[in-house]
Amino acid sequence: MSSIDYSGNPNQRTPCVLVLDASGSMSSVTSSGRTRIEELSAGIAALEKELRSDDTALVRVQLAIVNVGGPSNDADIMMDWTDATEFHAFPLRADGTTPLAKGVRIALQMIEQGKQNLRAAGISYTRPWMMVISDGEPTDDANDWAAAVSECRAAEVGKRVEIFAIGVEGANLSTLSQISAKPPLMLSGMKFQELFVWLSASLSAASRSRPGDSMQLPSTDPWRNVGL
Amino acid sequence: MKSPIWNFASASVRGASHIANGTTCQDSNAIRESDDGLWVAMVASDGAGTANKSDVSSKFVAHEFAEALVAIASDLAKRPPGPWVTDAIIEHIVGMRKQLRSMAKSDDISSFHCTLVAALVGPSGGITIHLGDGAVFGAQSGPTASKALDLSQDYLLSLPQNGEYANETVFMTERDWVKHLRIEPLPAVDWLVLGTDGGMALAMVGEKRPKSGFIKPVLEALTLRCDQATRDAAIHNSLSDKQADRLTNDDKTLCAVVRSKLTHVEGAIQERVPVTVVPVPTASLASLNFGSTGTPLFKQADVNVPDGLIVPKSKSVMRMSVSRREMALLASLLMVGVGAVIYLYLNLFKSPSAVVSVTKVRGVAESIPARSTISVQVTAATDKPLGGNEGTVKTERDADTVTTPDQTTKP
Repeated sequence: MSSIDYSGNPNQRTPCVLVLDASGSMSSVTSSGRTRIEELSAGIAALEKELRSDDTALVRVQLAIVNVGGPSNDADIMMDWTDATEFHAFPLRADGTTPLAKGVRIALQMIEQGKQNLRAAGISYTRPWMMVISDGEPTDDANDWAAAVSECRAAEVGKRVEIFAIGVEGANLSTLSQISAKPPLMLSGMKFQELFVWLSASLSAASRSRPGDSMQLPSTDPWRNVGL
Repeated sequence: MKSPIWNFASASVRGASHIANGTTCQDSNAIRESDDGLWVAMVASDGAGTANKSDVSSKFVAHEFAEALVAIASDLAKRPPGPWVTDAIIEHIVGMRKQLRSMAKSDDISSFHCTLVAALVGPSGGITIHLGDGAVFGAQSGPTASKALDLSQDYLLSLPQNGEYANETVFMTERDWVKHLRIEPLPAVDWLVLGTDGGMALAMVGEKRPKSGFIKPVLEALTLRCDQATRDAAIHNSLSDKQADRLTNDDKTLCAVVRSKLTHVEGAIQERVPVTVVPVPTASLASLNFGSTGTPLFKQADVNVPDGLIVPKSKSVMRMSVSRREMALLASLLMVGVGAVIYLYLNLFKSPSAVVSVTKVRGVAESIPARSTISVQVTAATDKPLGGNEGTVKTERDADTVTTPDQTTKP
């Protein structure tokens, strides 16, 4: 259960859950001399910084993080729903396998729970986002993955969530592509910071959008591998 | 013989974002007065920014529907109000949708997405028609003998209906439009304001209650002895105020009507719960499966993601055969029609005790014509024609629908 106190901030919310691959492969060292998980952590720090520089996004964006793999070698809620004002980035650690199916299913449950909490608090909200970032492929049982894919697609068709799948070098894009009707995008190199700056700007656009408006998200060029 | 009893005015003003983008004003409005001057039809329509011909459709809908409402008013002079009013309204909307399909040369009229906010105001009541966001509010003016429009009287309000999400609404051009159509009887009012969401961003406090500071000068302009152009200009100027851009960058439309006998405005809107206009019961329709996915089709603020991330449109309309869609529409029309007829019949047209309580309080029994029962929406339990919540039916909203709070940082 989220314990957010909504009394001080009645603004509408734009919820976004991040499903982050923290499996062992994310500990491989990149050309910068840092590991992938360190680059990802730096990206999340950039997200905090960007949100804090945007007055509207800061009071409207709500974040949650689900880790896939990591020291627990499991998928779990790493950070429950947190208003951007209360969000403080923290370093991630990589280890274990990639139970991505479990991760996205947890995220979908969190989204429904988050909406329920917002409704109970009388806070309106825009359609939640789910961003899945992975450098590998799911290690769950094939049936579990198929079930997760089916839940994701149903949630997307049912307009319960907007899903973005991002592949990092080594990712199996064809597997990732199954969770959303939108094709997955490949991160160029280790441009996690650029990715999270884009996410902040995009969430900001979503949080300001009005009924019937066209919501134009910023270009993905700064971080997308256009060769793929 | 024309004996006008109403002053009215309206304006649609292009929003700051549309000026910046070079897009046209996609809001439209139309006001028509009946030949006898006793009725005024007001229509506002907000064309969706995502629909490329919504400026055309909002204009078409506003003008067509205003004409249709005046025709209904003319019929009301010849026959008593009854279920036929609801039927006529639904038929007119179906007719407009047919014409939009013909204009689109296609069964897909999503490029014409627009909302519908309308009212037909008569000497002792009327009707509101509402589909999507925007709002309608109005009230009586106070003691009948007084020539003052007292804003502190209890007021009624038809709230915006959005989808589940704050940035989405529903349009009359959607396939499941009928699920969201709200046809409401209107008690006798002395003033009424309606508008699109952009207009209401200025005229209301956080989509919760009318804002006195904005409404007062607008209504005051309608109590002055001046020509129509001056009255329209007053609303236009209020909507064009530079400070308005801080509250909304959307197109803004307001239509207002005030009894011509009123000479000035006093008091302020009270922070009490309004008498919420009771909707046509739609709860039983919520479970209707209109498409192959079985999910309600809310039009969202489209996410245009560049470079390959394209949010797909719902394909369920396309997958549905024409005959099945038409059948679903007919079935739903039938259900809404029957529901509305039963509702109006039971609660309004056959509620003499409510009529008595209203007329007693107003002290104007003699001024209300025999056909005035259409105006009475108050339950017999309360003696306040526009006050209190006793006995009123609360708005049934979809389970997932959320209320919109004050949005203190809304750009």
